[in-house]
Amino acid sequence: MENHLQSCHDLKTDRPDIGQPLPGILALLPIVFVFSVIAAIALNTLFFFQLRNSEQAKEEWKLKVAEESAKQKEIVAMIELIKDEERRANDVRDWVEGSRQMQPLAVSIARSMDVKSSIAELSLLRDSENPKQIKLGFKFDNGGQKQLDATLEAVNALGYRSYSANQTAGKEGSLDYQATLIWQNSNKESLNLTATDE
Amino acid sequence: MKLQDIKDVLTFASFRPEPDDSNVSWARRFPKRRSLLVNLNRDGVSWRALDRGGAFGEQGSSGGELKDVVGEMAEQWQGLTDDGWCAVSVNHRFVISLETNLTRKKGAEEQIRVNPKAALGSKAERGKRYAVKHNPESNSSALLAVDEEYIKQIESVFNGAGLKVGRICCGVYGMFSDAVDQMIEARADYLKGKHEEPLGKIIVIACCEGSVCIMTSDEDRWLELRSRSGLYSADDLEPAQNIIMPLIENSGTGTQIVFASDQEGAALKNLITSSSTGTFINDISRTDGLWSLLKEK
Repeated sequence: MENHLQSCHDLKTDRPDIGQPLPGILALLPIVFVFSVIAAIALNTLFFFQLRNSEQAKEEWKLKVAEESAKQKEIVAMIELIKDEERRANDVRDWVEGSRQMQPLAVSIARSMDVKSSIAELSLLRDSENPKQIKLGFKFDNGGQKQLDATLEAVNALGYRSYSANQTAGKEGSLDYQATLIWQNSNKESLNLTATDE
Repeated sequence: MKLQDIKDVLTFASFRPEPDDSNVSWARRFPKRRSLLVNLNRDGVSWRALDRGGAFGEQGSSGGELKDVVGEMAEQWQGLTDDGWCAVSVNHRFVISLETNLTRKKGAEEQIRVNPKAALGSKAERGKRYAVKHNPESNSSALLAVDEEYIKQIESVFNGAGLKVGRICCGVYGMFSDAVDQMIEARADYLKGKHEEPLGKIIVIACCEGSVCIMTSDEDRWLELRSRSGLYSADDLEPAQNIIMPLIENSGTGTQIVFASDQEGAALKNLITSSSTGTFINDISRTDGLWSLLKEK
């Protein structure tokens, strides 16, 4: 059967450089090459689209960062405004808290006076820059030191403390007293005010 | 390494045999490519196209000189092929003879083609190209001789017309050789069967496009060989009958005949059957005998 399948005789003039076909196993080489080319094209296409998508995403994120930065600046400015408001509110609160009514203080001093004593001069001055401090100028006749202690006790009962006190004793129990009063105890004051209002 | 070599590797062309590699069959050389089969007779040319699937296509014939016919048909033939490749069968200007004691050294058959003098010695004639078919069981061989000048003329005419010649063979010798191969195989199978009776005389008859080759054999010996070209036509089978019948009659009764023919010679079988008694005819003819041989081998 092998002979039967042999190729037919040939009488033509043979070309001298007729080559034998390469072994079949080497056909893997072009197959691998073709697959490599196809894979390279596919991967490049994939990378191209991914790169384009990533650039788009990058631009979107840049826009978002810019938006968020602008928002942050707005919030910081708002916080500054709020802080400013707070500071001003604190100032108002301090002023309000410091600007205690002076009427109870004057009434308290007047009530502290003994029957024999009389107020010759009373001044209560408040500094607009520092409303918590009240400059007290107090001059009375008769009673001397005892009357001063009673008056200061009444002032203290309203929550004020005296600082930088300066007193000058005169003739026949008269006394000139000057001090800076600083209000300290709000509870006492509220109590006294309540009592005063009643 | 040339760019063409790289291209051939990438297109798998390097893994296929070259179109003019005579050691490879025509079917393997031209897979999925169109080619043309041409037969040259004394007084005309016939052809048959092969399509990409290996099926036969357009066929035709034309009378006249080879140069005139090829010049006239070249354009049409190129249109029937992918690259102009043709297989050419010659059926005249050849001699088939029975020889003995031809060298059977390794590579001798190839040497007969390229350097017949070295292989055939004094039996080689100048200006001839040879092919040989050895009898594996004896020292006899069937030797084909074709005029070298005619081969070169064919190559020149085809090349000049822009056609490429992938094979030049002798059609009747090819069919004869194929029939002998089948006879040898059948004989080997018969001997394996350990039959008591000898196989006896066998006559191989090959008829192709008007040419006839007849060989008688007795057991393992090839006895006599006769060949003629342009001997018969479809209308006139008598000359062929005249050369075949004496050999059959001389062989006696019980002779087996292996008959291979193309369509034109098919009627010869009926003539032989009616003229001889006591012979057994094994018809191995195939449809499109010559074209099938050229296509497959």
